[in-house]
Amino acid sequence: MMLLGIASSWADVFKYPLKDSSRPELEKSLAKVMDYNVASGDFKQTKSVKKLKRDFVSTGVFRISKENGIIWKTQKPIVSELAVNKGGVFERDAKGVSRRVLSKENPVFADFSGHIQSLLSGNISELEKNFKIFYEKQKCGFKLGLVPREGIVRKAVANIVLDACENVDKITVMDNDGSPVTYEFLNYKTVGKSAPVAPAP
Amino acid sequence: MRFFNGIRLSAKTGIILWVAIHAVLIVLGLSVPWKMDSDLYSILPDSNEIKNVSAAEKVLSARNMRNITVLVGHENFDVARSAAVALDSMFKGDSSFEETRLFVNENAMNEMREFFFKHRYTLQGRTIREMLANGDFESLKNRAFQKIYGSFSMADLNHLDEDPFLLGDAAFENFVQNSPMSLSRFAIRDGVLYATDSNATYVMWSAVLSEKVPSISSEDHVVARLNHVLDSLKMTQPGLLVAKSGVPFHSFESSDRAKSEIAWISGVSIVLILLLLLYVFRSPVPILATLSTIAVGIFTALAFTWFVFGNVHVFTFVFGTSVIGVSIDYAVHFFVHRKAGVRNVRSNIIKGLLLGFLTTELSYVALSFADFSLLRQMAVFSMAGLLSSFLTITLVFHAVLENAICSGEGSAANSLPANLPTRLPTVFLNAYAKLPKWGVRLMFVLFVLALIPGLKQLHVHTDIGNFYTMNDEIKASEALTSKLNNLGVAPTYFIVEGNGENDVLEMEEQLTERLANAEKEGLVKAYLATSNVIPPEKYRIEQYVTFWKLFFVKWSLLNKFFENKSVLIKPNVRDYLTEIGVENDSAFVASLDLSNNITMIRSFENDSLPQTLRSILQMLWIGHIGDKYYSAVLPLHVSDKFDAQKIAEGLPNVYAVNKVKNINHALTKISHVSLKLVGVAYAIVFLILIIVYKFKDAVRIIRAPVLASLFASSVFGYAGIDFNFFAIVGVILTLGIGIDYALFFKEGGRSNLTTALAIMLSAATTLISFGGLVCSAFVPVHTFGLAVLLGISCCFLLSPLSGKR
Repeated sequence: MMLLGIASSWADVFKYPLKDSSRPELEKSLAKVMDYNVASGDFKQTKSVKKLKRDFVSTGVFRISKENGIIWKTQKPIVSELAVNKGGVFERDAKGVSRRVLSKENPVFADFSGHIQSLLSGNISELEKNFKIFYEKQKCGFKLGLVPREGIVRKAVANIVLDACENVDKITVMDNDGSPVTYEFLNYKTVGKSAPVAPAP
Repeated sequence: MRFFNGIRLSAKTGIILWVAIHAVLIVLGLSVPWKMDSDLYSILPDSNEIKNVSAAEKVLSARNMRNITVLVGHENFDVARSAAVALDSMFKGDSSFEETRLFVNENAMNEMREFFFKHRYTLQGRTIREMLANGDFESLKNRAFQKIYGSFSMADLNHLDEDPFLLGDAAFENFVQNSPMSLSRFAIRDGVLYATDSNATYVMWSAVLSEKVPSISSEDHVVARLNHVLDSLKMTQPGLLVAKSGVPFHSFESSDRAKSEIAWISGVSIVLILLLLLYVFRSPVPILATLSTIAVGIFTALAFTWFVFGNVHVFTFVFGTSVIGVSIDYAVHFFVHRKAGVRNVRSNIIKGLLLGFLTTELSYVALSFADFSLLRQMAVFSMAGLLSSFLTITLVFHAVLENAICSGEGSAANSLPANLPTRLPTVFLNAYAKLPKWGVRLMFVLFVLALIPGLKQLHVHTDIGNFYTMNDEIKASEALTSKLNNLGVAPTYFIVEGNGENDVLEMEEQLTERLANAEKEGLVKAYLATSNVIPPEKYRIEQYVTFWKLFFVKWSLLNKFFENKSVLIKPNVRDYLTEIGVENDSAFVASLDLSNNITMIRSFENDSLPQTLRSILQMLWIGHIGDKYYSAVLPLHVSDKFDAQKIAEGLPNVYAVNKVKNINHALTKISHVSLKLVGVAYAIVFLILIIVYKFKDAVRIIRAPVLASLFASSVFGYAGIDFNFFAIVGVILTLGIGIDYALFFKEGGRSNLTTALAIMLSAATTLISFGGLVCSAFVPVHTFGLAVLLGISCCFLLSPLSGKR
């Protein structure tokens, strides 16, 4: 049931490729949800394996700092931690043993961190270099669809859908076999939002 | 007609003998297929004293030396990519290339994942193998949990029922970590590999040259065409950057430079020599006869060398030019005496000519014993060429030219030459005539004393690193390519030897264990080894059996075991399967069936490996040579404290190979051996001279070339220039040619103007031809020319003292 639900929601956005006319709107919407210095909260990750008709759910906490990078702590059913910062991507397991997954010199890291930077800063032009962009306005917020331009990347990640209202609520990463991984964000807190622009007198 | 030492030989018999000897030498050469070897790499001596290791190293190098990489860069990725696409379309299908590569195979990674999934029970890396060795089921389980529930994991969960411990993913991860890709700074964009540096984006185009492509440059050489296309692309696209890397670019560049230099130098030399001969003889006959002698000599030398070696290296041809030098010398002697009106020229010059010929041949015979193919080829080439020239002058010149012109007129050998320039030889001889005996003795003593400090400072050493200086463009290209590839292969790597494939892999395991410790100590950042990805059969069986023992209650290979499989899975495994939702374990149990794994355990046929893996193993797996198997293990990004010799210490059949260092060592050793061999040859020459001339005169003759060789060596010492292999070849040539001057003066006498003029002409032609080589920017040619220039100059000045007053 859940698979069907996800399938219908993520597929819709891909009917709406980003047009020049909707670009300013997307930039504005993205800037609004990304308007913070630090964002933190809880996440629920659901890996749905279509072939096995099985879901693997894990939960944890996250912290995204535009200055210091991302920390992603999975707490249940396993304990692990992933950190993305200027030095690369690091992983720590339940025993506290950490290892560097990607060094800062690795081009995959450069791409990965570049995409995150583009997303966090709302830089659509930069994102467009590597993804085809789709945009659908919602009653509250918007849906952003990303399809990797690179064939070899599409073999692993078919597309990404970001659902946002006031904040980013959900990110769905679809693999080539049609199995999605969904990240739902709860208890979203932000620090360092810009002051609202005062209305003209 | 009286020949030397009483042998009579008529003109007719002489011609028949000349034709017979040349026919034999040439027919022998024509009986084998002719092959000119232009491979610059093949002139290098064995890089290792152990022949098979050296052969293995050569196989490995030969594979890499045909690879080229071109980085096409621009500040705009799309411009760089379209230029690379244009380049690829120009050369795709070109017969000069074995393959060209621009676009990345999109399925490559999936093929690799599938391969490692299929071989997951046998191709695990060190991490999983350690878990297995410790029976550490918990770690194995936790690793799988991390992959299943952890964030941003790329593990494929579709095969979870068959592979609940995600061992396929573990084997693939091990491959990625142990492949050159893990360090490379190239990523994929729009189907091509790209990397950025200094605000420019570079797209990689690479190719493998066909084996038939020569390394020596030519106008239609594929590298010339490639350079032309790249220049055109740069012209049409402003701001386009190009970085070229690979041995073929260096070979082309250096041979192109050497060729234009040699053409220029030899052009000027030939013109000067012809003008000189024309001035002296005032007739085209001596020039045409000399040129014919040289042409016949070279052709005969080529044919015979072909017969002996099956091929002739282009360098043999270049350094075997002593044939030209000596041919000119012999011909000059003949024509100077003939022009001077000497009756029966051959009889007058034959003793000096024959002794000179024999002594030079002896030096080359000695060199032919050196364990260095290039040197042996040079020696055989020179011996055959010299024999041909000697026979042409003593038999053909005598029969064809002597009788026709010298009939009835002429004078004795020691008379003043008529119709010849005499001023210079007179001045030259007068300078020696006035020297008192005590003055000559004092001069020799002072000369020898002056040589000693230089000889003490002499550094007999060959460094091939100094032979070729890259131009700034190629140097910058190589630096950029190396930076972006970021492979950092250490100059010293390992060659592993074994009786079979598994022997080699097992030996590699012992070596990589030491390298893993060195990695922990920070001495090496990574290393590439075949066994990192494909462990030896023993370990593959061990892995498979250990997985069985870890997952099932009882180890059994019987098929009936499978009939009752459900009850045999260990409880902890059962719990884990339940935890991750695997209700039906049949796929998992079946995956461990021996019949599904037996082919993967036993052996790996190259064809069964995915292309990406094959390409990587091509860098490492050398294969079968003689009755042994070989592979290479490459340490990457080593620290200064990394000691490859120490790591290989005590490991039988593991050799630390530093190619440049070993070749330098081998060339230096060959230099020493060559000097010793020539020393032995000279001792024999000295004995012959004692028999012919008695001791005192023998010393007088031999001291000129010996002191001249010491003089050349001493100058190298004073100047602090490495006395390398090519300088030694130059000195050997000095000994070979220089002794002729002393012999001719001995035979003609110190005051004989004809002899003096002939020797002056010989020395002048030799100095012009070899002296010109000093202008070469190609270090081996320059050094060789310098040694000959110094040696021959000195020998020329000392040789009148060999003759009687």
